[in-house]
Amino acid sequence: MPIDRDEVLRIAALARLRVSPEEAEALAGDLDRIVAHIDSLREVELPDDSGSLTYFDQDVHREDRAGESLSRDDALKNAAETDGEFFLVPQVVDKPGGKTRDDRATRSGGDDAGRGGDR
Amino acid sequence: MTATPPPPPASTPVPPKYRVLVGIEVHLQLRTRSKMFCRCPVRFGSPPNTLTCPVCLGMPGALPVPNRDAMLMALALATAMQCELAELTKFDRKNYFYPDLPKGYQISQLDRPLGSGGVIEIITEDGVRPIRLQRLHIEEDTGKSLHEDAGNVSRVDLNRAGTPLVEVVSEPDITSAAEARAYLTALRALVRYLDISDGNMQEGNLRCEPNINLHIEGPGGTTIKTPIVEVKNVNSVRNVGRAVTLEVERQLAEYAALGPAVADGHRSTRGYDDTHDRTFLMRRKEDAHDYRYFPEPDIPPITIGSAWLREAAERVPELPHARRARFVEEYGLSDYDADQVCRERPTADFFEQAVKAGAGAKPAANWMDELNRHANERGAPLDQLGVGPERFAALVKMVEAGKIAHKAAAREVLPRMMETGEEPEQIVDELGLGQIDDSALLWSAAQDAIDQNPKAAADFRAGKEQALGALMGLVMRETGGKANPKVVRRVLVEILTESDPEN
Ligand SMILES: [Zn+2]
Repeated sequence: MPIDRDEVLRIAALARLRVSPEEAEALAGDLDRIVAHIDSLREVELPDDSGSLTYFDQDVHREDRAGESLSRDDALKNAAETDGEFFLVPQVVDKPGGKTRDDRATRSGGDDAGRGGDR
Repeated sequence: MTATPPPPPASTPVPPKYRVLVGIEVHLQLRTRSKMFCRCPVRFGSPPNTLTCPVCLGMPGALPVPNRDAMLMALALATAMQCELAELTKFDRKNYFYPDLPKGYQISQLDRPLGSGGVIEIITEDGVRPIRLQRLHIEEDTGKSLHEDAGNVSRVDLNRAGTPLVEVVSEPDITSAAEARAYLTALRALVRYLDISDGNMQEGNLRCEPNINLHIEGPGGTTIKTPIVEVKNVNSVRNVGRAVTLEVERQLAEYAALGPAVADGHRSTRGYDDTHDRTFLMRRKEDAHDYRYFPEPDIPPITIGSAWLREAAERVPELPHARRARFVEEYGLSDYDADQVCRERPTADFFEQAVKAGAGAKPAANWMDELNRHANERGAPLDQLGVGPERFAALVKMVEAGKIAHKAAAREVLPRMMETGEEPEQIVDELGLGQIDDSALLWSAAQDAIDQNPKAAADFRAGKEQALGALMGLVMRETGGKANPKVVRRVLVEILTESDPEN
């Protein structure tokens, strides 16, 4: 699928990048060439047992032991805005009415992976 | 003899036939010591932003490493739910922007979840029914955003960011509010049996999002499918039922208003508002989210080999449904009693130990509510009430043998056992509760006296202490003067103050 200007603008919107229509036009050509280049990897012939995803022979994981966390001052050090306790961000509008509590609802949706699409 | 009933008048709208389809997504916080991909402690209620590190803050160059115990807990749950376990599992990045998601993506699992399929058995008044599952996967929790009522900032606490979560997604097999509640109850029992999560909805370590729609029988035998609505902010088992009921009503009303065109609507997300017991529209999903999933390049795929499986299986104890069946079989409990006793593992453990110590199964089962009530009041687990299963069994046996009335045992002896650690026999002697052989007789005589003398009862309740004298006289006569007057007095006062409608 060739990448056109609209696709670039869509991806830019998802990534919160500001891209002008002219830039999008140029990027579409660049991205198209990059994708085509990556696609060429598919032409490589592989041995039969290469269906596996593993390319490490050792699983990487760790034991459940708690360690040290950063001090709060260090954690907040690079934040654009804080009150010394919290990160401060522009008001998040997720619920009507503004009477919101702790935002516990997770945002993973039923639209993940096409789950429950047709019913 | 076949009289056909008259057709309903044309003006009466016939309610449509419909089927309710509910699927439920549950997020469970696993009870690990450290977070999913870093060593920050998992701890509720710490001062804001004191449990973070470069990994869970999403600093460039930080390397996430999966927590093995969290993997095992999730595997144990998948095993308990009879999911098909992945031989090879991997993590993926789910990309979206939100202030409590510092990396700009959540590490989750897309196409190789830890478990696929599986089943949870639910119990309703209609019996036991399996609810099929779609999948189980691991992901990391987000931080918390706190929104001010006034002002133009939100505050973000990232202590929770990176806490291990398991997501369990059911098929839309649930068909009523009662089944939705039963599903959550069963899942919660399961995670508590496995000891992998507190499963507490109020505290947010078990969160659920039901998705609800209807298949309505339309004109000419067509099936009209209402758009799926996902409900958020559901924070108790009871409210899951409310959300389903409200949504069914709302979708039926929408069908009544729009007819078959209702099917052209879009999926939407609604919030449950428990103050007003209603749902409100949060957003339509006209533009389906595009999370641009891709494999997490920092975490190699993990092969779930025999060592993993063995360890996970070792973590699976006898599960509620198996235990229920065994209690029915072995101890002759009714299905209902067995279900009540088996809902929480500590209750089932305590019950079983008491029965092994000689308590009758049926009476012991009936006592478990009373014990749990004390445990809740004291905020203490069942095994720390100061009354172990053996001494508890001794009390149950005394009641069974008619040495003391159940009421007296529950109200006077059990509380005192918890306070002083004394043996039940000793307490019964001290309080004179066993003074007449059958103290059940004493309680019933007291109740009779009250029933026969409503005026004296009313007077006493109105504050005339001396009215008790008449009642006491009746009881003493009835018991042939063998009852201890002190006990009679206490029993009468107990009954009178308990059944006082003003109290
Ligand atoms: Zn961390």
